[in-house]
Amino acid sequence: MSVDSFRRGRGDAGGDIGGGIDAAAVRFEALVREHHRSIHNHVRVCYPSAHEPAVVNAVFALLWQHLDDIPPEAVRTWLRVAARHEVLNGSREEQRWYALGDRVARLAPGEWESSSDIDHRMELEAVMSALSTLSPADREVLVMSAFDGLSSSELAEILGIEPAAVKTRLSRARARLRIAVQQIERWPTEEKRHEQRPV
Amino acid sequence: MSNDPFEVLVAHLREVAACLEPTQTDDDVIAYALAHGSRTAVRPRRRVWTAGVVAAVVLLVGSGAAAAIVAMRDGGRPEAGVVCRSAANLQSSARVIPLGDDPIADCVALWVAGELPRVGQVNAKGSSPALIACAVDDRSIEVLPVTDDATCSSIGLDEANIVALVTDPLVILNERLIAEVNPACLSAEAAPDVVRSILADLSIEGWSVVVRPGDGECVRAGLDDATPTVFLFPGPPPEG
Repeated sequence: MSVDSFRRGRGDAGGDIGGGIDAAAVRFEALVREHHRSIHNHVRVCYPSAHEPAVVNAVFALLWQHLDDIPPEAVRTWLRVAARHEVLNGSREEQRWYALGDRVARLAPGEWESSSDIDHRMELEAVMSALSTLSPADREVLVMSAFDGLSSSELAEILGIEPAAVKTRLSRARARLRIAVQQIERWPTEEKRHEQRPV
Repeated sequence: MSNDPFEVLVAHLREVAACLEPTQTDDDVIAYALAHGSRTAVRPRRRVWTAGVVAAVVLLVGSGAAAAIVAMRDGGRPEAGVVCRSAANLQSSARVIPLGDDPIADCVALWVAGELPRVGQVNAKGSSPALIACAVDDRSIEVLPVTDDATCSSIGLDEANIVALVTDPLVILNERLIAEVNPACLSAEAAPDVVRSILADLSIEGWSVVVRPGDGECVRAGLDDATPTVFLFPGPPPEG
């Protein structure tokens, strides 16, 4: 059954039957269509070991449940907070979330096969390797910040910490990533780049 | 080319994001939420037992244990049926299944299949905790995991009278409409006779059958026990 038919059926039933639910359903449907893809991507990238369909379903079921309590401008952040809670609750049972770095590396698309930009490929491999050596907290703030373009205040709400702490955590994580990547032999330093370029 | 690993990460993840495709459609997500998300805010009572909601859940959970849903009342509780809870309280997440002869066995099957405690996440043990069946009102059963000597009364509920539920004509009417009308793509002309024959078969008297206005070649049924009426909603053919 499609949602359209669900809505049509309820709408045709007339205002005397569940009109308030219809209005909520219309708003909810619009929010799903606006945010589903971004939440799917957010879960896939930030929590790649989580069971993405289950998390996405749970998050939007929660949104439906609390729809009346969430102002429109807060939905984007609220969905990510809910996703994080859902993932962390699940990870306590299965202890899988900490494979984040490894799984992020596997998300690399086809451009890895390209030999047209060896430097880029080496950089990427090195960054992913370095990322996997960082702590889960460092990986989370780095990936979330890098991927979703979230502001400090949004990140703070999602991570449950103060905005100032986000800036500190992100800054330190970036520094640790920089240090870690230098330990990776594939990281193309200026010297290596120079050596590899054809004369 | 950047030599800042964070900038490399930014560029890479955004490329990755552009390649990702959701594993579900928007409609899948909406249907799941409408079927599983219990609305807690104050809202008008859902007087009609929505066949639409019923069909959505059948579509989504049909691959596991045979499951369907009966109409949900305020707060997301069913008018009739079995609620398999993930924890020993009425606020925990749940799966709603049709009423069978043995609600506990049906919920055990969901636990063993990994559908509980969290939908979509495999229960690592592949087993079920001890369960008890409790009644919340006269038409629905809560099946909850318990420890030690907990009883229905110790968590504020009554023992479920499963026999009474199984034989409740309204419950049976609901399930027959789900089984015989909604998937059959009956026309607005033919469906009322089918519904009336089901009502007669169950010796249910005094009910009206009303076809609501709407486009579509197939009707779906919904109950309103307050009026009492079986409404038929024209719409598109059921999927699948």
